[in-house]
Amino acid sequence: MVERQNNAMLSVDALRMGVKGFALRDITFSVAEGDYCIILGPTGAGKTLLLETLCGLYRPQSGRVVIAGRDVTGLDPAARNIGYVPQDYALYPFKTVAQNVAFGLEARRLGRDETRRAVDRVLELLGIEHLRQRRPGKLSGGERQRVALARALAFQPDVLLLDEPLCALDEATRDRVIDDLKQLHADQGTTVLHVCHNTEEALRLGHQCVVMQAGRIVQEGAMEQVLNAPASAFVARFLRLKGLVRGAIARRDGVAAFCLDGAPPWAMPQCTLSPGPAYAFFPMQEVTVTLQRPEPEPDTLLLEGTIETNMARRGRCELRLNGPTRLRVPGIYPPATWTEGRCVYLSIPREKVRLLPDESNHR
Amino acid sequence: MSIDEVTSSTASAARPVSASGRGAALFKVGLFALLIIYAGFIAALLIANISYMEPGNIAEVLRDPDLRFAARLTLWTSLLSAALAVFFAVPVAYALSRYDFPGKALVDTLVDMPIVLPNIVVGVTLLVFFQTAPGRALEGTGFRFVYTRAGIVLAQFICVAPYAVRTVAGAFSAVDKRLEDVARTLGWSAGQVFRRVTLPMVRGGIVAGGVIAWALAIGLYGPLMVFTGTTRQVTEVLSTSIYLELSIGRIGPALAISMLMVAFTMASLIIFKLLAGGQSLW
Repeated sequence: MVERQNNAMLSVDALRMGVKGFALRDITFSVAEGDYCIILGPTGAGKTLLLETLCGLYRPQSGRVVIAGRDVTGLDPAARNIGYVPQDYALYPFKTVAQNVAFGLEARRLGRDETRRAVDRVLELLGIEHLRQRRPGKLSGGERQRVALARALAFQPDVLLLDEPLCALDEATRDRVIDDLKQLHADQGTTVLHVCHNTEEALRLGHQCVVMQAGRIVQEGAMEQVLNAPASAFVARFLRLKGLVRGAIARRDGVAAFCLDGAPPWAMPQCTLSPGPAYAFFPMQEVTVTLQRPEPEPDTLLLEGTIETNMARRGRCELRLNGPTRLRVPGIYPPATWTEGRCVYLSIPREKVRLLPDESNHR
Repeated sequence: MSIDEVTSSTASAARPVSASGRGAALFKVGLFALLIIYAGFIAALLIANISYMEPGNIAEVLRDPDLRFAARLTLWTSLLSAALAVFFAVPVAYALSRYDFPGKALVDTLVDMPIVLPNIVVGVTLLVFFQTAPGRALEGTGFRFVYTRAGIVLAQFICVAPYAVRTVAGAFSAVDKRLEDVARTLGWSAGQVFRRVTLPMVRGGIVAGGVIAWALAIGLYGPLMVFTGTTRQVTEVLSTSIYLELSIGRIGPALAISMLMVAFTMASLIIFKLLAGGQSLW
């Protein structure tokens, strides 16, 4: 047994793994017991490969995987006690729903009565008792997803690994399944690692978030922390965070300033980035929008724009601004008198602004 | 836009649709014409055979002790060779469809070789093999193949096994590997996954492979003439009976045997197509 770090149910340390010209490099993260961790990243980031490696379907070239205090790096998938739901659910077409759910319990050689009780419990938990005798071919997408979840949960795994479980569902079903997943997690307290590329899904479900790009982890942390302080412009853009503007860093008399076209430079004394193209990020909930130019304050930065579209008039909580920043300001319902073409001022607390390097500049 | 404009634009939009509809209909007519010509020609061959027979021919064949022996020998040798073909086809097809290994292309080609070789060449090759040291050593163990019934099974097996391999390999390739992966995460070992997930998924393919191997074994002729000969009450099977009957001028019984074999082959092919679920052979 390996000593658990900070109550971690799953910890991955310096994992490296290469297959068919693609490599996972230096993957390190941990998920606390009972946490719901989302792995986010664009297509081709290596999310599914990471999940399959954690399942034991691929052997890592180096690094370590510890689940529930056991080093499982060299173990077969069968010995890891993990529940895995792949993208297409992979239900056995020649088995009924009850037989699919019982399949993992049979491998553990439980008695017939114990298996039946466990199957009943998990079918009831997911509200699919009525599907017990059906074959997977006769189920809807949402029902198949529940059966796959039931099968993965039936033997009470240490960690539940979900690979884009909602991507094949229509929007209404997806919405309902997200609520169900939240409830299930709250009731069961299972540690979940959920791969997805949908930001909204991640925001609604995750406590913790790991963002991947090209086989590497580019940011890891609590969901709020990642949303309020993205580590890079890529993370901000991928999460579709709104307060990201592109400009350049200049140094005058040894003091760094962030320069945007058509706006006075923002003095950023704490900035350590080199002069050149860069991004500024500020959480939109920290921004105050006014029609009148506010009085200058030493720790408040000012941004000016004209209203391109007042989305509130179209039933959406968003204000779109013209100008070099082309910002979308979500989360406010501007009055209808804020018509297109009017000038608005955005006041941003200086300590909330993060300057991020322009990665495209380093390629 | 006025109503007139709407009507005229609708009419002009409808024109290309109806033109493409005529094209599709012509295409369909062409396809079905060729299908009818092809299937009709084969049906005409069968009808010609039936019309050439005399009413008592089938009964005569069924009463003839030599032909009854040949039918029995055909049945058990073809069943045995088909069973052997399936026994080898399952692991060979699984290895070829699931794993990459050095020399795979060569092994794959060797497995297919009897499909493209003329059957008589297989017979000659077998005859030559048993004149070489490994062949003589094999016969030295007590198993005699040349001019024996065991030789019939061996020749049938060599000729039909590749078809069983290709049919079963097609079924294995159609199994989603993720089903096997999930079973491993559920707690099953690789061997258990093969038995409990993969084999049930390809059951239809295995039966189809067996049926096609059996049907082909029943009709095999060329290699048997060379390798085992066709001696009455010893190594005569139905396919070689046709030759023997023709050689002594008994066309009616030869046709009757042919028609019995045609009936059996058609039944086998129908079963094969139902089980293979419309998959192509390779």
